[in-house]
Amino acid sequence: MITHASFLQSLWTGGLQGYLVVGFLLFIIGLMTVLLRRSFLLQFMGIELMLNAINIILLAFGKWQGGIPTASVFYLFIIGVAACEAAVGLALIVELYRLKNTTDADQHSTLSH
Amino acid sequence: MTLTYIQWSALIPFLFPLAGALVIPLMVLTRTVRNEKIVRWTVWLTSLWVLYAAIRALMQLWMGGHQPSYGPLLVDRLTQFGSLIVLGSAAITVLQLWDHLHHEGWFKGETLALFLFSVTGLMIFMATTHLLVLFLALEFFSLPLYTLTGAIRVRREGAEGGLKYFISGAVASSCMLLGIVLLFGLTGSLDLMKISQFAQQQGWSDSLMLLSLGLILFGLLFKMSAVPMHQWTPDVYQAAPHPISGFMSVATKTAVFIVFIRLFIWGFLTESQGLSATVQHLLSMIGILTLFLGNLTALAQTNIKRMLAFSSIAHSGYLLLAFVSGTEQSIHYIFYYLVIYGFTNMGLFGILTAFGWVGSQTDFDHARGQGWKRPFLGIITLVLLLSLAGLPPFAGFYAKYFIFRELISSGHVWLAILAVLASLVGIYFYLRLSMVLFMEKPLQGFNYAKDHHGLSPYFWSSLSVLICFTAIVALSIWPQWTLDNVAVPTTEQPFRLIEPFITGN
Repeated sequence: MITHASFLQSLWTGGLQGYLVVGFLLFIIGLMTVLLRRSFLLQFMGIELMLNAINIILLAFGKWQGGIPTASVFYLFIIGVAACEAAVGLALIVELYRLKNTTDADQHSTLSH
Repeated sequence: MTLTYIQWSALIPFLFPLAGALVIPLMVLTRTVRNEKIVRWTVWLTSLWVLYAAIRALMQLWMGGHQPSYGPLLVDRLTQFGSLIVLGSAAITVLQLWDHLHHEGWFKGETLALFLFSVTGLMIFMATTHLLVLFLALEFFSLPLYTLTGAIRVRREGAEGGLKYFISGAVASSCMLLGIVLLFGLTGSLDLMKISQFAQQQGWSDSLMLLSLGLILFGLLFKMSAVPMHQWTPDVYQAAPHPISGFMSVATKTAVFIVFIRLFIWGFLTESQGLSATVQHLLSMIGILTLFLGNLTALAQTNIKRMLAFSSIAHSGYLLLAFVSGTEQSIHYIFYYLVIYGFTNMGLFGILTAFGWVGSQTDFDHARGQGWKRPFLGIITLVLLLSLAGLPPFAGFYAKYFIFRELISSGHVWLAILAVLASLVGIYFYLRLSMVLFMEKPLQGFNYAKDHHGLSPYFWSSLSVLICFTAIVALSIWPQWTLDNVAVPTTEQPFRLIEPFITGN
């Protein structure tokens, strides 16, 4: 069981918990951005933030387990996937902007019966 | 690097659709109008041929009983079964796309290339035993589907549906990725076998491990559109081209259920009975909610595609309930259900194209009285709808009956009663579409299909519908044959990852 003091200590000295806390916080900030913001671009940035938060957690785990190469390789793949998502997402946003001249999510509600 | 014969035979089924997807963009480079018709035929025939070749390769493996593997790709019976459904529905989709894309006036080679990428991704998704490859394959089939939803750029709803699917899908796959990463951090491995062994030794006691399991489950439930995560389904199905909606409802769902079986039933949920009971409890709640919400919301729909979307949500509910009984037979019944559901839904989405309902003309009002104009298609629609509703002489009845019987014999009588009630509600809206087709007069001021009576003028989509209809009739006549020769052999594994948590009754 981690005591309060040793938790703060590990945050201060750069232990695993510190990285995990930062990673989870970023993930939740990203998730909240997607859920609460009403602009497609900001929602999209939230998704990228979530992926990068996962990268921090992944690399922290990799370091903690003695620097096994799987984590670094996985990290590069996630970066690649994030780039692909950026390409697809921005293309769709540009397409919608051309149709309606706005990226406000609430203005795009043709598809509710 | 030289590959052995066995390694090649494991790789070949994946290489065909991938090669097709890579070659097709090169084929459409020409800008000459004179060549356009030839290019269209070439592209279309190429995509049909690669699908056929992959189906043939898999059929040879299946018939010979070979279950090869290459690296993290395990082409066992489970993969072969799922890939055959995905490839079969993909071939039917390609047949329908010829007509649909011509109706919309938007025949582009990229559509078929993206589609084949998605097919490859789905096959890898089912075959892999490595969680990194699992995530990459998830994105590999999802990203093309996001763009395919908005493929027809002349339709205004297309891009909107695509972006909605993109944002919700990306969040779900990020959550699943977080689960995978946590699992990696806790077990030190991404290999499914090693993780399962770790879980068998340590149990799923750690709260962080439960969180990671929950996040992976969330990602899978999102893709199979179970209830709290179902909101994207109707919008995306309505926005996408009709054949692509059919493909998403059949192929994606099949792939996700296969992965669910591989990861959870045969992988994570080993002897730790406490956890598997919890998961069963969770699945029964989600299943019943999905069933009721799907069926009840479908009652209120006035758009055929939205109605079919909610019906596909409800069918996820039936499939989830089959996991609750947790016997070896119930897994067979899931495979059986997937075969029948696949043919029925591909047929129903194909009928939209065969009737010539373009773009967003898929309201019930567009279908009024059309059954008399094209009697053959009308009767086929009626049979497929009754099969989907689960009425006795048709194949869909056996699929539901087996699942309900298994629920009752494993002691979940109340779940079975609730499920039967929900499917009774479902019969109403399936019959309502048949009523609209046959018993209501066309409205004034609607742009109905041209007045020549008889067969549909759209050959390829009608052919695909006929194939599905024939399959459903055959399955209705010989239900036991399919169960014995398709569903039961699928669970014959060369090796299970570990002994399954379910114990046969």
